Amino acid sequence: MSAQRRLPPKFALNFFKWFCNPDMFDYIEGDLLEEYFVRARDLGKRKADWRFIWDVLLLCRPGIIRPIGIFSHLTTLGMYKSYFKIGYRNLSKNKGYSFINIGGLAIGMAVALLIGLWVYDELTYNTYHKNYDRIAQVMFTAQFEENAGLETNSVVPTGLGTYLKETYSTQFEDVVLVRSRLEERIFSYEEDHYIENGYYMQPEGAKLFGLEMIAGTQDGLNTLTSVLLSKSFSDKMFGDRDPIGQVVRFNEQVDLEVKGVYKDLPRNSRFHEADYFAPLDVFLYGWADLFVWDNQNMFLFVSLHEGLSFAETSELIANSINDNVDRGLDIQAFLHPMRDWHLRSEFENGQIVTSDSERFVWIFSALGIGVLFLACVNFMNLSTARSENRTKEIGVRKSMGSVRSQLVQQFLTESVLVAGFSYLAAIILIGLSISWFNDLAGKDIHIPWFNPFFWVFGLGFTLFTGLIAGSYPAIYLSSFNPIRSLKGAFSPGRYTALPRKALVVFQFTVSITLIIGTVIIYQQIQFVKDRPVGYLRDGLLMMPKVSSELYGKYDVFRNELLKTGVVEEIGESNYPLTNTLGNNGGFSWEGMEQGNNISFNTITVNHEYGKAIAWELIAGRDFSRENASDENSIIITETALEKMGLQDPIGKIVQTEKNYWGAKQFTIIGIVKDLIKGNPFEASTPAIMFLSDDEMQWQFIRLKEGYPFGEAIAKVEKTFKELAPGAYTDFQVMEEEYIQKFKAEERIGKLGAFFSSFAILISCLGLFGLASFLTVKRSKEIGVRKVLGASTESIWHLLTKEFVALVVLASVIAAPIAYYFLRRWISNYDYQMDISLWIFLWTCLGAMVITLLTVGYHAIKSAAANPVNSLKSE
Amino acid sequence: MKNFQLGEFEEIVMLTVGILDNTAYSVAIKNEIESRLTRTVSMGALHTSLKRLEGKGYLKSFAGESTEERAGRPKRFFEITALGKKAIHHSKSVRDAFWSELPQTILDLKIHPSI
Repeated sequence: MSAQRRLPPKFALNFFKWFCNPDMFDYIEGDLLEEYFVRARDLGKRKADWRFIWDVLLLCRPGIIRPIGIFSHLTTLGMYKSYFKIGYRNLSKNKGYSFINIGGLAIGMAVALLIGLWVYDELTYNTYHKNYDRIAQVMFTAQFEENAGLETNSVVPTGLGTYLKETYSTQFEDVVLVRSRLEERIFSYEEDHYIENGYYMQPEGAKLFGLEMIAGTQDGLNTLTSVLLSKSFSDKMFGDRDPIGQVVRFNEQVDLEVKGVYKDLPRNSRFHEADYFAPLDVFLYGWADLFVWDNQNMFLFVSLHEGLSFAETSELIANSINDNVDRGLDIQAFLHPMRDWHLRSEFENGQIVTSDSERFVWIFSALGIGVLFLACVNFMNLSTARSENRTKEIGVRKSMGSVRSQLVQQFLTESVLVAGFSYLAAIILIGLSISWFNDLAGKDIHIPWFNPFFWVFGLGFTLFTGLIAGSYPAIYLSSFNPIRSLKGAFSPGRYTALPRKALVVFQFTVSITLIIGTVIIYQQIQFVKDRPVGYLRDGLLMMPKVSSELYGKYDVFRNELLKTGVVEEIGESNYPLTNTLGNNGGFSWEGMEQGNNISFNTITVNHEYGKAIAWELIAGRDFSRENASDENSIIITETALEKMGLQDPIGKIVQTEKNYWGAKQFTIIGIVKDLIKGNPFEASTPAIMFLSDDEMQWQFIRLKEGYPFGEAIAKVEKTFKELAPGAYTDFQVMEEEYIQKFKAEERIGKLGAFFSSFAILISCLGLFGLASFLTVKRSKEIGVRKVLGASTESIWHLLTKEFVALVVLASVIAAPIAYYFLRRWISNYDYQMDISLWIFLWTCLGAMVITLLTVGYHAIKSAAANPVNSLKSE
Repeated sequence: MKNFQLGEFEEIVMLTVGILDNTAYSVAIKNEIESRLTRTVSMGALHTSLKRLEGKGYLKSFAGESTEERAGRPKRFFEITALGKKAIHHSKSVRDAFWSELPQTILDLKIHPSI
């Protein structure tokens, strides 16, 4: 009969078993079954099943539910208090070890947190703007060239803005045209001049972008003669005076009245560089210019009405350009939402592709997690290695009735305690390094001290790290057999060190790769910095002639400046020495290859330019005032000569399609060394220099050698003040301007140095843990060896050789990896150095020295120890 | 004098255990109460009560042998302790004292539930 007995639903029974107090389980289960069988007989199985489930549910009540934890009738609080106390005593007993452990974890946490803040900053770009979710930029795609992909462009004609505003008011709350370029303008107030960046913008822009007005109102831009200023600029210009209603001279052309002051936009806003917003109408010449379709010079921003989707609106306006103007192209307009501006703004063939910044977010996140992980693993290593000292404690605890779960709790509590200390240390570290990090990363990140979310996150982060870092020691330590651990016969087994060794190899591979990378990046930067630029940077000033007052007085200026005695020469050009703008094709010469259409960097210089910048003539002569025919002469650079393929260039004629300074035929009179004006990492551009005596926008001042720089500059400034008292002057030191070009590369270099120093630090901690583990394990062996007559050196040798082997292995793995990646990195540049193999050797040797120092501490300590101490304890 | 705390359901359980004398285990108690009071008793309520009464020292329990109809699970039998006896006596005497003080007219009224 019992075999055929129908049984109650298993899940209900299992559920009951799960929650029921084990003391009562047998009896109650018996009751339940007895009832069930009776009901199943009388009422049928289905009803009995339901009644059974109902009974089980009714049994869910205090008194029957199993108490949480086995010993829960004791208060666990006391036990936790004890864990904290023991944990704290353990930490303060081994101060050095605690310092390393907490320090290591703190550094890992600090790096992870810094990166976390960085990633958060990247992800919250532009969220400052109030209508973040509704703002979009209108852009378009079109196929400009045959057989080429779709190109995406963000610069639109004014007509589009006006059209969208008039036609789609049901879709857009605001439509705002903004001049598509940050414009540098001079503001004059009383006697002072300020040169600031800002945008020309239609009046609704302030509302659209949600500028926070400190004074004035958001609709301050609605007259032609108004301007909005940032708080910092307003403070700089007006000091304590009330800015509203002040009149400033704008670009020496018009007077604008300050109608509002807005809170500076944060660094992670797209418009953070803007220190002013001027009315767009000042930029345009009249209303007619708002209906132009054939000139692209505007950014167009819109905010959608609440609840409308970007995708649908995009579709709606797709043909707005096609419908209004026929350019023989299919131009598709679309909306690019604000949330995508920062990370998802790279287009390929009309589609958003992964941008570098997005990739960096991923790489950085991975690095942060990786560093934290390594630090956690180190923590595990050190704790596990130290466990030998605690086997007796564990044995005693177990004999006294501790169960495993309690020991696990104990060790987890301890590691959470350490994590807590580390978190505090990490916060302090971040506080100290944040400004340096901001410098490095080009950001303006603050620690959100007053953000409760930050602290909740910090707490969770600490718990998480503590639990992860403590999990292995907790499980490992609590598994000790009490009898064996008390007898002291505990041996960790042959392979327990294997994962640690693998970890050390891994860590050192990463560290060595990073160090080699950093060294090579710096070498490449230095190599490029040393690149001959074709002119003399030292003692060269460059000045943009912005003020009209500076024009028409070249000869006077030159004479006066030369008279000061500190100026060697001054010259002029239409372009600065810091970019390669102004490129033209359409040149031809005798013996030119068919189909050769080289684009040259064409700049115009005056007679003294060459002397002022001190270019280096290789052949021919410089422009000369004595020679009137020089008007139709040109000087070309080495690369230009090479590209043209002329054998005997001096005196050769070059024809131009376009008219340059009234002529179309030029004679080459000189060849100069390449002028490196653009990106110094790239190949030099071929350049042609024309001559003109007209005044040009850029002045170059060569200071005489031997005068203190400050004094010389003061004299130059004085001369300018005398001759043009109202003019804005900005003397740019060429040496400093040139260094600017290395910013991006130096940032990579600094980041590399940052990561490699942490990597090596964390690796050393890992090594330290392994060394302490192994030497403690071998202390008896060392004792025996010493008793038998081994010398301190031989024991030191014995203990360190294993680690040296690990680091050699790491070096062998790291070198090809580093070589591969650096080869690829360096091949991005046209001007590249050769990677010297010596760097690899030196780096590996350096890693070895660090290893010996780290391990040496333990090795020497145990080698020098009295063998009696290690042998007498059993 | 010691204060004996006994709830209504607890009192019923105690009395039932007494009635069943030596055969009092949970299912029997439950069936007995259900048949006498024509109300259903949930297993959960009964076990909680039994546990609480045992905790107060009014009942004691011993394990019985396992039987076929319980799929081999043991029964747990209950009996009233000396303290338990005092407690139900106390409870009864308290009620009796109340009853004896109750005026006859009130009792009459109770007989006519129409009011």
